[in-house]
Amino acid sequence: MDVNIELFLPEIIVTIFAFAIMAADLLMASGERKSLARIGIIGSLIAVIIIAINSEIRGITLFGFFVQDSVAVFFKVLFLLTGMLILYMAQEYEEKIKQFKGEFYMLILFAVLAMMFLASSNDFISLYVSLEFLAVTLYILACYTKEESASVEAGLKYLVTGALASGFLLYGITYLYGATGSTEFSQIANVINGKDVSGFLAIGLMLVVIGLTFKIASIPFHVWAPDIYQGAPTPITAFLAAGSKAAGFVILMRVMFTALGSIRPHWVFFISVISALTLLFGNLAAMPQKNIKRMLAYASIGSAGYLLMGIAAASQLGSGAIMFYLFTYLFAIAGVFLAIVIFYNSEGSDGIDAYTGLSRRSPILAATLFIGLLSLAGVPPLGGFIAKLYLIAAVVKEGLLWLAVVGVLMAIAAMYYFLLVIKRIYLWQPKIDTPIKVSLINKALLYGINTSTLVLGIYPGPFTEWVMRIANVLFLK
Amino acid sequence: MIPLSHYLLLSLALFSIGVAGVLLRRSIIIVLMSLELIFNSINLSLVAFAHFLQSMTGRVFVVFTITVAAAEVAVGLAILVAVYRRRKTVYVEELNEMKH
Repeated sequence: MDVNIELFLPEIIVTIFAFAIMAADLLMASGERKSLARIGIIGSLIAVIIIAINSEIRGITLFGFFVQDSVAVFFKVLFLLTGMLILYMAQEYEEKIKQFKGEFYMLILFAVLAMMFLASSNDFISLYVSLEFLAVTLYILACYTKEESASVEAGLKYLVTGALASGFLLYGITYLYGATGSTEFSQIANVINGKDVSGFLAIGLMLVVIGLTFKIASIPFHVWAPDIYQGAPTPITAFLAAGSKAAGFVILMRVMFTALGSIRPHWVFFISVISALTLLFGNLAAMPQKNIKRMLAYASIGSAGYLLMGIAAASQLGSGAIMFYLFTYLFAIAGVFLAIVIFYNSEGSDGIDAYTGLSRRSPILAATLFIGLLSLAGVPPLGGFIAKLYLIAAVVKEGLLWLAVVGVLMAIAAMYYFLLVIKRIYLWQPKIDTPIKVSLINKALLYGINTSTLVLGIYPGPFTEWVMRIANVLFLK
Repeated sequence: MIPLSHYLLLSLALFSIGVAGVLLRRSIIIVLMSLELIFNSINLSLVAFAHFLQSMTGRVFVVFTITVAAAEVAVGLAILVAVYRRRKTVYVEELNEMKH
């Protein structure tokens, strides 16, 4: 038997803790459910520690389905970190969900588990199964507030578009399998290396890319994002923005670089066009939005466009930049959405006009939105700026100047709509003056997240070197 | 013996009918049925490829896709029931609460 348990020990820990939450939920009174989130956070922490201890163990196991390399390790830590922040956010949001059950936390942990398996997938079969595992948990989470008709509507739309997209992905995988006779990434790479691109391979490649655009919310499967971001419970929106997108990019990197890297000249134009269209659509459509979650949905479509620039570059610099971008993106999203949750708990509204004069009512929430939104827009000296700079540098280096120009122009557009919100928060007079209470632990967390965004922007050196070293693994033959 | 292209054309036809059904039909129940059609067309081409390539992988893959599609439809129908309870409709064009 080709099973090396050491390699997937973190996944086992997360599974055990997810089931522990389910069991504990049956025993606890409904008032004590917040401690379930703590169980989840402790489980994620233990998994991170195990990954850190075992970080030197590498290899392929489970009959070639599962690979543990430094890219997988990086993304697993990222996903567990996302999971911890989302569990904390969910616990803040809990009172807003009527008929709340502990399975909410369990499903979040299962989604993290699915993302971890995705980061380690080394075969189209394991990729597909973990992708659907993630998708099914997210469908349930998106419509968890059953009594709100917006939430169930969001869940249904998410399911229909998601299933359609996975149909495209699977049909593409079928053709790749037909062209190469294998579903394992490295074997596919061996078969197609140095050969002409056949019709089957071209069809498969195109359908796989189109199918994967659903997870990252880019054109042509971007239509779900605004409705689902707006309708889903806010912690789940943050999870979709930070976690699901990162999961989409780790498999995109594996498929495009590991399996199909040798035929890059045939797909680089296709990806570049998708990237440019996504950048234009996301950033321009974000401008007239009146709901902050919906605006962030369009902004997140725009971010997918930036991240696709790194895929189009298909270089060490490009994939390092993707990882750095996702890391800064996580902190920006976590800060902004935690602020939105706290604001919603006190005001009951997600409309942008409700944020008028927020700086007079709660300086810390205003400062978090200021730093988070500007980091998303890519303003120096914040983390998001360095990330965008690296992505643009990566495409310039590969000679895709036109794409870089689109990227720079859309960064300016992003600055415009985020600055409109910030102007409202800082320069306008609030209608009501009552201060918004922020608990001490929330304050500490918000300060921590803001400091991370600042540190990643001011002193990115060691961190970028680290991600570039990790990215190297994808291009070793 | 029936050549590979026949299987692939049949699968493509079923896939196209499925996609058209998802995009054009009003009732969500028919949309979910069309999704099933898409997955079955994929299963057909997977098995055809596996047969002509003399490889086991495709056959194993089909078992996985059938299982996953069943799980997905189970969740889909549950969500549909929740939508119906809340909105008293199963028609796509009436689900447009968040346009603004």
